Amino acid sequence: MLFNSYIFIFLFFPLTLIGYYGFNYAKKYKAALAFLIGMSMWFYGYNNIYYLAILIVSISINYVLISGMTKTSSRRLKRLFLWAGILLNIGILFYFKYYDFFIDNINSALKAQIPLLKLMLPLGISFYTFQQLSCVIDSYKGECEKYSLLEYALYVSFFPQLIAGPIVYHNELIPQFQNTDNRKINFENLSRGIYAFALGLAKKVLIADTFSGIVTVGYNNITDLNTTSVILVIVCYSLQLYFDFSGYCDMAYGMGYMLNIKLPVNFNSPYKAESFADLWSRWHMTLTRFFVKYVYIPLGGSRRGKARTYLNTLIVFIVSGIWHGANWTFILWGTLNGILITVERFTKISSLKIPKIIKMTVTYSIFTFTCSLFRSASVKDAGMLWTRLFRGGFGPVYQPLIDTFGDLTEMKFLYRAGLGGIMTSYPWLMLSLFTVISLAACFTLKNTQEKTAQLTLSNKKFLVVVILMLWSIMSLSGISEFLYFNF
Amino acid sequence: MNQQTAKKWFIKCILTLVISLTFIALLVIIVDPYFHYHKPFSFLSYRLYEERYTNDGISRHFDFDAMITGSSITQNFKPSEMDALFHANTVKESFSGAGYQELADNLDRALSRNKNLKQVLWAVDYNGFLREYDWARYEEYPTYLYDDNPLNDVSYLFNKSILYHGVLTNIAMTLAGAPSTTMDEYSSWDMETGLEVILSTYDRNNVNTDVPTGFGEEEYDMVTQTITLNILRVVNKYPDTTFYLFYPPFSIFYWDSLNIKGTLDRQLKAEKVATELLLTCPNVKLYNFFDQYDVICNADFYSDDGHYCEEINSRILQWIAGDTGLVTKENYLEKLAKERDFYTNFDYDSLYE
Repeated sequence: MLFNSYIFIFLFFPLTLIGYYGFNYAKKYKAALAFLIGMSMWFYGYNNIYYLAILIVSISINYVLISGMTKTSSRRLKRLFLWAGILLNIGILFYFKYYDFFIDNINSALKAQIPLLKLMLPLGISFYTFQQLSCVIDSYKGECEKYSLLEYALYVSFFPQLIAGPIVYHNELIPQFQNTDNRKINFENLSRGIYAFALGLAKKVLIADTFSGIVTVGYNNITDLNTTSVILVIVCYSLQLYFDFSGYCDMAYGMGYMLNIKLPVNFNSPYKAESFADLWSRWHMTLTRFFVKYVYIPLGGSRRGKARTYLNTLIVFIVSGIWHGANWTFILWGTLNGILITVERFTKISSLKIPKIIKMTVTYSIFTFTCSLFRSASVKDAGMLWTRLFRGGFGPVYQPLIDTFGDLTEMKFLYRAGLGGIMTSYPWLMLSLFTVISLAACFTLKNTQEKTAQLTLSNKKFLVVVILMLWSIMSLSGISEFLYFNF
Repeated sequence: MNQQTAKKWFIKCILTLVISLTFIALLVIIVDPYFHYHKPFSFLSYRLYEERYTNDGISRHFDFDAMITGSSITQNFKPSEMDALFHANTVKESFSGAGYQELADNLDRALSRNKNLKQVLWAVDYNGFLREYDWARYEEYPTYLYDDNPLNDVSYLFNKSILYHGVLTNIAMTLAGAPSTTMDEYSSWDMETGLEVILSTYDRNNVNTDVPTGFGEEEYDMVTQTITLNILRVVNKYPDTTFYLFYPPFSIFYWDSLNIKGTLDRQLKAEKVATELLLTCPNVKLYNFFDQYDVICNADFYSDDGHYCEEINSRILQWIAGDTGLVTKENYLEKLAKERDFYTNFDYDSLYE
């Protein structure tokens, strides 16, 4: 089920709120947790019941291993459970996500013909596998409390964060489920939650999906693009990626609020970053901290000299690239980001006294360029895009990009509302304005978490919620999928 | 933040959203631009457009006993002319770029809902025999309008495009006193015609010749499947309805392209298979106008190699009403032989002199 769908907004989420608070009002606390698990299972299995079976099996086995570790005092047995857990989780992820990629590369290298599995990738498998992996490792280290099956199952399956994060640690979420103070309706949290949800929904439906249409046209017609159009397309993609993923996280954050559960911040205005290190401390923050805790630090972190620190950093980014997808484009994207951050640290270039705006612009531009690799279907496509970028020549924007934007109902409305003359004379104007305004918003506005924390319940904010919700709901048909479902 | 203030603010948000959405839904239900819930109200003006959104609603709620259907080459038919010639009350349901399956499914739904539908004029796209039976050009479809599931109507009720292009446009037309689109006007077009216009889209020097040219068992099965699973499926299901099927008279430039590609023989063999299948149905009257040479060889009637102007649609109705071009079990082989002879031996170069 998608957050940006009629069934979710009109039925699923209102029913969740009513049921959850209903059980809690009757002091049926366990039933309330079970109800949330049931709803999360419905949410996850809505489009494919087969996904649900994988999730249930994964939760069950992990719970047995984690319980085993918390119960036993035998170091050997604990180690056995740890490795079983690591192998199980990485194995499931490899089997569903990477097996075909691996075999495909072997087939290409050895001219072999090992058959591919061609399995459908279960939604959000990378997210819930990592959450469980963290729990397994923490249990081994004795950093994991003894949780009930209900609590553990809800921690993994809690629908706001199930399929696209944020990647939450057990000790952030489960204590909140356990706290009975969180089981009462809190209108302050409901208000903050609906505000964050409205902002997130609008970011996803009104902004990201608009850019998505333009980016798709661009990437489907790479050879027809000139330099101007390639720049527009890659900038649009950087905006699509940010508004899509952060919009999703804002919605998750808002729903968490409405259920009195505080989810961690995942995006802290990343395009305001003044260096690559800064950007990666703001972008997909819960993934970054996961890699720092479970990969970078175990590798030695920064304790083993500069050279080893750089190497560890590079390894983390390569692993991050692999995590993002089974394609060389993701691996190269991760590697490129790792190299950039290493070079930045080595040269200390970010500490140069340069105006903030220049630092922000340079960081954003380089990151956006790397994202063009992230979006490409293959390395060859990325190469073609870059060839067009450097050799395409400046000229008018590729007309189908403009037409795609012009097809928006809002643009038709503006055309008839008196802007037809300007829009005809300057066909590129509205798309350019939309891009520039979105970009300016990323550079200057506060992020949703800041806005939510500082929310005052004014009539202005009331109008913001109502207008954004109505406008987004009215824009829901023609549903597009969240980019981060496949990671 | 005070809990009481927050409670009031939150409830105000929810209530405003519920009231606004209810108002929008009621507005869509009342105006109902695609006739999903009811027939058009006499006090409202309607703009008929967007065939794939409108046609199913026409089938559901309009009063009619005859239908014209087919791809874009049926868009210029005038139902009023069919009314006069066939003593019927006709609606037009064209689907631009349609495949056979889409047309058959739509007709099946229309016939199952409307027991009075006794005459169907159905253009059988001549260039569609050798496509997969379920060939379709359009993937994004407003399926919520086609089924009878009220739950997915949310996509109709809360849809900014429908609100703007359908509801608000109809209200604006009504307020301006503009009349509704007539069935004759619905989806019709008036493009330029003539040799120059045709040659702007048809370049005989750039025809793709890298196409299969033979006609074997696979092609035979393909034609049989396409006709049987689509046309015969519907025709045999409604034996009391008369189906006037016709092969649209594509221009001589279409035949030129077949010659250049080397697929003329393949196409004629496909036509033979299709014709034989269609002639097995007693409620089918099949027409072939490829011997209307004064039309086919006159570029002034065409806007490209296949699409003819409104005048030809009128002529087709008259031909069918007078049984001109009627294909029967007795004459189809002779007609095919003449067709082969003419289009094989035609001096295509003369078209460009």
